[in-house]
Amino acid sequence: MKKIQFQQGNSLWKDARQRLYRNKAAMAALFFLVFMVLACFLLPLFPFIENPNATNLDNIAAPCSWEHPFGTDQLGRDLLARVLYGGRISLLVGLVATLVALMIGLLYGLISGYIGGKTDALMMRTVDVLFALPFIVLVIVFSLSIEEPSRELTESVITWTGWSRESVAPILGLVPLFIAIGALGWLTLARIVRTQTMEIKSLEYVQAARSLGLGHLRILFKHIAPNLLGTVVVYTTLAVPGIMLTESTLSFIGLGVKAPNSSWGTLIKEGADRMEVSPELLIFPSLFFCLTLLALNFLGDGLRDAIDPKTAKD
Amino acid sequence: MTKLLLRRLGQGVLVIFVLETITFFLVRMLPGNPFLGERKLPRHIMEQLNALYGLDQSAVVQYMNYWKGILLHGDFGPSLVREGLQVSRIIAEAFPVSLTLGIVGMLIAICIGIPAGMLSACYRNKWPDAVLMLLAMLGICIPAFVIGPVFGKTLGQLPGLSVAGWDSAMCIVLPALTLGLINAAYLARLTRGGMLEVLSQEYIRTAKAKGAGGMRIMFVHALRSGLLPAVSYLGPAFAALITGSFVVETCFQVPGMGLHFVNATTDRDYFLIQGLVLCYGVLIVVANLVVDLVLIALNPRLRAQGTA
Amino acid sequence: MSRCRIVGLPTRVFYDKLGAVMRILTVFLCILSSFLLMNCGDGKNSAQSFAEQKILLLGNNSEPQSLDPHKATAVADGKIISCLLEGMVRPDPEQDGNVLPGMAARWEHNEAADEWTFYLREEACWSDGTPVTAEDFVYAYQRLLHPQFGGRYAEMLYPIQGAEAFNKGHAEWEAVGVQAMDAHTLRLQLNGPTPHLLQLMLHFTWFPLPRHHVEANGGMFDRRSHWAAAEHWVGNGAYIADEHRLNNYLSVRKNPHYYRVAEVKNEGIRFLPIVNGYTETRMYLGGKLHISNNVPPEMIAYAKQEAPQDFCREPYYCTIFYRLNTTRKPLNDVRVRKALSLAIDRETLVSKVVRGAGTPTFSFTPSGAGYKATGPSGIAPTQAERENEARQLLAEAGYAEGKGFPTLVLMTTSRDVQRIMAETIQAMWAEKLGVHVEIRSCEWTAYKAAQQSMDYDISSSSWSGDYLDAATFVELWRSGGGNNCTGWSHEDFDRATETAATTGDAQQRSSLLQQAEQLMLSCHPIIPLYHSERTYLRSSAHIRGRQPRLLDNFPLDAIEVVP
Repeated sequence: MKKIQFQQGNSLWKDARQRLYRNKAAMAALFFLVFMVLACFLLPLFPFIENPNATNLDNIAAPCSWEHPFGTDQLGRDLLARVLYGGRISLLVGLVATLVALMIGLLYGLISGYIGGKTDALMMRTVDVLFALPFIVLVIVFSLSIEEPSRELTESVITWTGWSRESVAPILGLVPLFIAIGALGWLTLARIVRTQTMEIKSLEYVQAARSLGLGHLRILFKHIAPNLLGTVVVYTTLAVPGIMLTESTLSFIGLGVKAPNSSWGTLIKEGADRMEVSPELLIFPSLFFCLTLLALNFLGDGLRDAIDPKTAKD
Repeated sequence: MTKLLLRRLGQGVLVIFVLETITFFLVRMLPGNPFLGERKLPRHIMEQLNALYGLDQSAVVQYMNYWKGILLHGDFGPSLVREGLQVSRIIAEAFPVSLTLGIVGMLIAICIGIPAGMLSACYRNKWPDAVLMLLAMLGICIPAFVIGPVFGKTLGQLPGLSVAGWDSAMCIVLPALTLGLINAAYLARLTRGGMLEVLSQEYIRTAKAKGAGGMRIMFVHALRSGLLPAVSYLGPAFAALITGSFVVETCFQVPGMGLHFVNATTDRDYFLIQGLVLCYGVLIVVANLVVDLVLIALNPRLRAQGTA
Repeated sequence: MSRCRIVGLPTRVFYDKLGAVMRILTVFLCILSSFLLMNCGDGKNSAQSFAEQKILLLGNNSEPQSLDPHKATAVADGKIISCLLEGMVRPDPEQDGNVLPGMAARWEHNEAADEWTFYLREEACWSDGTPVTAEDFVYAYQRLLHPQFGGRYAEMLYPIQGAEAFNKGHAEWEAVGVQAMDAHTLRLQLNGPTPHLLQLMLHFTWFPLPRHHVEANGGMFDRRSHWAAAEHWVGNGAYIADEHRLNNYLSVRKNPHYYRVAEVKNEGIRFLPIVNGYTETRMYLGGKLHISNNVPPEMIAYAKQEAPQDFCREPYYCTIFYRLNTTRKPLNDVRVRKALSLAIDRETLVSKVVRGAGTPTFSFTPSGAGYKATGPSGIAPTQAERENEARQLLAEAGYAEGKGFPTLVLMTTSRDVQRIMAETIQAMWAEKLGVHVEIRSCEWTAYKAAQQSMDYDISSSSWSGDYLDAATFVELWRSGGGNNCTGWSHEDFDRATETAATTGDAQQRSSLLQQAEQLMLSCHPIIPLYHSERTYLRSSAHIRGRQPRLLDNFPLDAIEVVP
């Protein structure tokens, strides 16, 4: 029994992989994303990328040149370097916070939709409450209560590992942000998953599975969850931009990336205020941001097609 | 049906109650107080002000008084920052603005988003699909604080349209368009996803195999189920839209609820936050109820079960 | 592929459905576009059409807290209230710092300048026709000072004898030096010689209240009173409040009962509460305003380019500075504080970050009102020398090259200019001193609360004067003063400012304040950065007669809007 199951799983994923490989748009998107991740994380190691926080007040808001391919910002910092370093933070936020939100939302929605009845009502009304709570109030209260533990965490990591403060602080400083976004970003997803679960639960094959005496967990994760993946992937690719931008909003009230470090979100925000004077400051970060998300979206669509067991038989 | 409605309304009241309770204690955990100004108030004046508004009492007593005010007198309390104004008046003034803007924005979103999503699903992986989805992704990626000023600078220069402000009927166009396009992008993506999902379901295939006669019904059915994700998105999004968007209201100087929401929080205007959250909560509950009813209507099996 | 057929076949049906949706969409778009066409009108923008009606459109920063002068505190509120109410004196539109008779036709004071008598003009009346009497002033002062009322700005009246004691509940009203001799004579007994009293009286806390109207609307102590609501406003100023739409506008119209009604230039004013400077500048350039409130530094170049005739820059009675928490290590060491101050290149900061909208400074009080801003003695003339000295001082304090210096937190509000400035200074300190600070950006009230409870290391601050006199700046640093917030105090400083407060001779008073400030600056509890300038846009086509004012309190009735 165990063996058969394993083989089936293997072949399903193998199929999926092959289908994904055949999808040109998705593969191009995947390569682009890998390229972007490498660019953001490896390129700054080379000396030709300047220190993103080195100000040069004699050369502010300079246009593109060989020395500064993207020009410089309002404090004379190299925009290319800032965009690349900002990408590290944004990609990290996009990945981690989205995963947190995804896991919570998926499980919550599945359970709520599958059990139904009173439990469902209770769980969904809880979502309603959380949804209507004023986000900024929550975040301010949270950021104040997390400030001390977060600083202690940074200190202890520095003493334990001996890494320099400059390399540790920006990343660890994001932990409260991950918690804040993850803790509240799952609400809409939970609602969507729950609706779909109820929909699928009422389909014949699930009823058939149940009458065959399959366990609830097995039905939930083997027969319902895979059918949800399409919607979940689509929704997730929709949610990532929102999550990355929420980070920039939160940075302005002290949670998230701390100045002088930047993220794509904060760069876009600052660029938007200066778009009349130096449009480069808006265009380049936006370009990186949009291209990455577009690629993510194509990849998401490709993945959706690939893992969808129904498309397999076409 | 009536039973379901009643039950949901009962739950709604409970949600609002819990929401208000959490908010009440949450806002009092915020640092500072409503009377912190540019200049520090002398201690005795701060105490006088606290006493005047009953903020010197224990949180539980304040909490009791708050509910007493609402339930016995229909009084949502005074604004602590704009003294002399009642919370109810502030909301009564701002809500119609946000409501109008939200409805127009939502209409734009639905009129553009859903057909675009359906079209895209029909032409799956062909060029119309690619173009539409590219546009949709741009709509999702470009934040409102970029779209807003860009519209203001381009469309806002057209005669008759105004760059920002709220003094003529035309002022609604740009903010509504900004809100509408962003939401249209989400709707298009969700509709496309939902449609594709349904079109690959077995029952559609079975129906198809049985012959073309049932096609029309089948398609109507596909559309119904295909709209599910979009509809579940619409409910909360609509509630959020008609309670205002801070970014769009700041960009276009629209006197809606979004501005009050943020300002009341940064000013610690306790009663106003409370009132706004109450308003938002009621809308969320109603919107979700409506969504669930629509979902039941769209899905015959759920209708048979009578639960949602 | 079968999939194509699935989609392919029902496509026709789909178009039926789609057709229906499209029809709705078309109808909707038709309505929208007809709406557009209807409103296109004559193609005039607001600035033009309002100018024709002689209504001034004024960007006014923020939504007013209240029109009640005893509840308002913000500058934006002050601008509106100064149109709606008038005190004993009014500002001279011709010359900054000069006052003209307002409600008082004339006044006199004794030799010591601690007893003043004001004689009201007989013809003055409220906008409902009731005459303005000395009792209205007494009533207003009693209300603002009354412990039961809790006026936020009561301190402004403390120069009056017994006012502070009454406000704190230690004395009776009878003991306060405000007295109506008859219906048209008001006598004020002051704590000490106050030659600059008339300057103080330009502030809205010194304005009278329509006693009959306040009494008819809940009485003196009713904080929820509606007497100051725009709908049924009664006032004695050049204008009457007309219509108030929250976060949208507040409009005022000419007061027909005003004694100088013939001199009032415009029919009305619309105050628009536009907080965001970027939005405001775009609105101005889109023809929605006659005068804007603020052009953010990054927009200056753009504004100059788009409207070179309209761009204005004028000095403002305001200083931008950093507070240092002198109770915390290592900021309790004056050498560290001085080093931090010297290492900041103010010239570069002002020219590059603020884009020239300010004057770099080492002193706190701006020049003006007979006071000359002078930095502390012994500041080296060039930045390079200052930086050397800073490094030396830091080494003396035991942090050579910044080694062992703890990471301090620099607190700012989330305002854009403040954040950029903090980033610049952060970089300067790191480069010049090897000192690393962390920037914490907070939302406004959290920032304020942390500052007032001294829960910070370094705090980005600003201070603007309430009235045109150096005391409004210098007295900030008295020990235990509510807005000191640095933990710094000095007996000599307190003594000097106290003596200054009771000195009648303007020259002597000024030099006492000067000395006190020098003492404070030499202890470096703050890092003065620059005296700010206001940058804003004013329509050269539509506006006549506006002149710069240090306090930005130019009388709006003297501005003329021309079509």
